[in-house]
Amino acid sequence: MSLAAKQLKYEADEELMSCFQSGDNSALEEIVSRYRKPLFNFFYRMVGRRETAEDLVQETFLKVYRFGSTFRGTEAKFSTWLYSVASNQCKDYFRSSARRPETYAEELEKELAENFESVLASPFSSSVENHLIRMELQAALKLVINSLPEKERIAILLREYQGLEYKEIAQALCCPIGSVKVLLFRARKRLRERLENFIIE
Amino acid sequence: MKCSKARILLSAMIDGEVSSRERFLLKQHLDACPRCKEEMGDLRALRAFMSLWPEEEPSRLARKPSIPKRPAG
Ligand SMILES: [Zn+2]
Repeated sequence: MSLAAKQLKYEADEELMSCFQSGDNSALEEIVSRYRKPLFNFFYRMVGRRETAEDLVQETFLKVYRFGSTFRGTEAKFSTWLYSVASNQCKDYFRSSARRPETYAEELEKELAENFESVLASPFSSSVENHLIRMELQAALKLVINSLPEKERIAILLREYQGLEYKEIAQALCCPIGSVKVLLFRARKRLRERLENFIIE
Repeated sequence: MKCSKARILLSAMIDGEVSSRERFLLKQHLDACPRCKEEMGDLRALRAFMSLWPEEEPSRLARKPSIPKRPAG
């Protein structure tokens, strides 16, 4: 690792963006390495397909490359700006006619079947049983999250898994903080109703 | 405070997104309303349940996101 690259590791995101804006592409590479995994997980939870999620990550970083000059560190945190780009990517993806609504469930079923097979191939024990139960719960959770209206789903994922504050979610979704409160309340209400049989208190 | 308002605030409270005044009003409501109080436990259980979906690694086979080379000059 070069000295410059080592130093980049300790810079704040906003500082990196400012380096990128003044022509330093390695600053953007550092951004990519920081956000590749969280963005992948955001998209994966949003669309349910690994390949699609990888594509969306790639497209999001391309947007950062193209429109990074419009980012103002004085107005927003970089992560908030990035998630607003990512949320728009999701909206575009769902708007495109190529996607069939049943795809997600089909994918999930396939994934489950593969996982079940690999678990069942191992010798039976209580840990295998626990593992199966866990997989079933995970599958239920995935399906139910997927059944949420798009905006509620984005809001709950940004909150629960990406750790954004309400102010940041509001910026990412271009809506008032009051709407974020209501979106999250509704998402949780729906999740609880639909997961009632699975959640053990 | 009505239950409908309390429910929205409860959801905001588990995210640490209520003002001190809202927290005070909510506490008053919860002391008087067992149903909303129960709701709080439900919200916590939901959060615990959601944590069952762990982060995953992007696949190693997938292309590392590439950044186009900037034209010189
Ligand atoms: Zn109440």
